[in-house]
Amino acid sequence: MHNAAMKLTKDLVAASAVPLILSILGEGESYGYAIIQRVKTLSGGEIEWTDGMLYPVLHRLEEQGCIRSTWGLSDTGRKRKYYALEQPGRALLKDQKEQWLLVQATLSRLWGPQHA
Amino acid sequence: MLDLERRISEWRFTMAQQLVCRGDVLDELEDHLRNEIEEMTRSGCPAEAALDAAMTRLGAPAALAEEFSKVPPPYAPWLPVRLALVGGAALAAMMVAPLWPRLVAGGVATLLATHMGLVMLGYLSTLMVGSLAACYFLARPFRNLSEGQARTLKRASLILTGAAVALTGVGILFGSLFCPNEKTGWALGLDSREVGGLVILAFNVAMFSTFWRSRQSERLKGLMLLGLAGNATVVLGWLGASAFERQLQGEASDYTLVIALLLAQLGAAALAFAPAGRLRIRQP
Repeated sequence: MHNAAMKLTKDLVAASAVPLILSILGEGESYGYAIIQRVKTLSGGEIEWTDGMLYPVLHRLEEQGCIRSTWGLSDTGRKRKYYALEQPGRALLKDQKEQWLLVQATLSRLWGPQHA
Repeated sequence: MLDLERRISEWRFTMAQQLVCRGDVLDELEDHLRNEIEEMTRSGCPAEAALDAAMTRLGAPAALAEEFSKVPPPYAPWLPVRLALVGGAALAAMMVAPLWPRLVAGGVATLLATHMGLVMLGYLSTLMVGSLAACYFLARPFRNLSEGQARTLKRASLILTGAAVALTGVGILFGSLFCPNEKTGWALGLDSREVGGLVILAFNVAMFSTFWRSRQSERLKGLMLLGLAGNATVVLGWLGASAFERQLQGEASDYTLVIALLLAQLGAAALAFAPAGRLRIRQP
């Protein structure tokens, strides 16, 4: 998930990938392309991943037991892999949310209310 | 449209060279590529241009392969497992072929041949697990298995052990129901071969139970030692019991093969104490 369109550095894009994926899957089952589109829409097109790099992250999360995958069919009948959040993934998401909110709150206090 | 399909096939072929044995990943990436193309063509982009853009956005095959190499695949091929499956099928055919005339003879001969065939195939399945275990211990000093290969080995062992339980169990049950003992006329005469068969069945059940409970665990060495013990059990319960029964009947019996095979299991088991990867051949 390198090469963010403009604003985010490579490191920040990589760091935010897991909470973004887990949060989207927290809304319900989804698949790779839809996850990327959702991130694009939510960020107003500002966060743009190199699409293929999403999949190793999904596979790693699956390997860790945070999400599970099942093969299904798309509306057009094409084979498609769907992902869903598992209990360890929910725990990881809760943990990540707390960390990101802490960073956000700390930076907001530093930069003043006008940036909050 | 045909040209688009040809180019997607070419892209998939290029990706497959980088992502060897990852057909599931290729399917997933191809679905993504087609989604992107469909979305862009709906917005009015020509199909060929949409494909170019989608391939660029997906990333270079080499870069993708590098990222995927950091994630171990759920299963990875291991040559001995493939050889065991092919060799096992060939051995099964060779063992059943001599029984064929009796299988089609009808009457008691057919019942007896069915019983023998099922039991022998069950024994063969146990021996296949033991052969995989021996391969594991022989390969271990040179190179430890990758996570994917270890999972493949555990899955193959579980399936073969399950087949061993089913075939041996059904074979023995079939024999006790339909093949009266030649000496006693009873279902079970409890001669050496029958006792050997029951011992092997009991061991197979215990081995299957252990493999089943260890599906999620990382331990492999202990399971493979159990596989070698399965080999020894079959050698004693089948070949040893047959030789012993011949001896009881006053016929000539030879234990050389039994002893040689048991020593071979001990030799393989001794390799479990050798450090993994110690003999690895380092690249200059």
